[in-house]
Amino acid sequence: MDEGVIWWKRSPPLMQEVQTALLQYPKLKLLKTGDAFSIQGEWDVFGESKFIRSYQIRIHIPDDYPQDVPRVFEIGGEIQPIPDRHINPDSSACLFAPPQRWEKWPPTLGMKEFLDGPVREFFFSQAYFELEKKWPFGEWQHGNVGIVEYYLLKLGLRSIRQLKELLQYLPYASASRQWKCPCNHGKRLKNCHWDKFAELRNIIPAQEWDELKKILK
Amino acid sequence: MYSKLDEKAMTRFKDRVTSLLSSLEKAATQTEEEACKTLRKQFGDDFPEIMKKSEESSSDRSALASDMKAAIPSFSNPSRPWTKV
Repeated sequence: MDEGVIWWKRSPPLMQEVQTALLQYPKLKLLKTGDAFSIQGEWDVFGESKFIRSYQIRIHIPDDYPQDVPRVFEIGGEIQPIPDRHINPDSSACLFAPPQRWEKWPPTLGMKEFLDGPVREFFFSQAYFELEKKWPFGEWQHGNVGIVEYYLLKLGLRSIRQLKELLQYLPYASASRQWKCPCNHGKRLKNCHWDKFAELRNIIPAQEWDELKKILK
Repeated sequence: MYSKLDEKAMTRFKDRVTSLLSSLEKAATQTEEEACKTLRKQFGDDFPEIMKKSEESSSDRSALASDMKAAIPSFSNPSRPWTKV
């Protein structure tokens, strides 16, 4: 019914939630340009007990928020805008691999969880990388390879062949006793990788699985 | 002022001024730390030293890195960055 209506007009409580979330971040301000809102200001990175450094950031809240993920930009020129620093071609920060979004920040969560989670983790990672030249939580490989890597890790599989085989069971709500697990451990799927698969299938929507199938073709 | 200088002293003075000019020109193209080293060769130990800046900064960086390492376990299932290509 409200399709096409910008997020804050469609759902005023969402705006309330964004404003409340920003109370915890006094250096960030909500800005309005036309009908669009963005968040801009200084993002402080802390270690366990020390202030590490700040970044100047801007967060664009998309029209279809929270279905679409806000885009985060480092605007102070402190992070080299290259893939190896996990900056996308459009200069936005790459917070997570696309399927990981549904695990980390599903649309049921709000701006508080977005700032406390992916944004905090991203800038912590960047500050840590500057000091140690490695990523504190690891990194996904660029592009489709990183997406496949995500599924392999989450499902505990070791090869693309195993992943492709498991995807054959996507349409089924439950596992048949006859199906053999693609991991080749000799067990039945139901008693082996089915639970991990079913759990991930509950989190990640159909369009992401379709995307994975296209990648694996 | 220089009329009392004999030729040898004048030559020495000119060489010193030329050397100073060369050092100043070199320092103008260097980082603050390197420029200080260059100018200390001309002016001696009275010239301010900031060589220790990098050493201090290195120790600061190490302390910050340790503090960040200690904070890593406080992140629960953190996101790993990815990049669209």
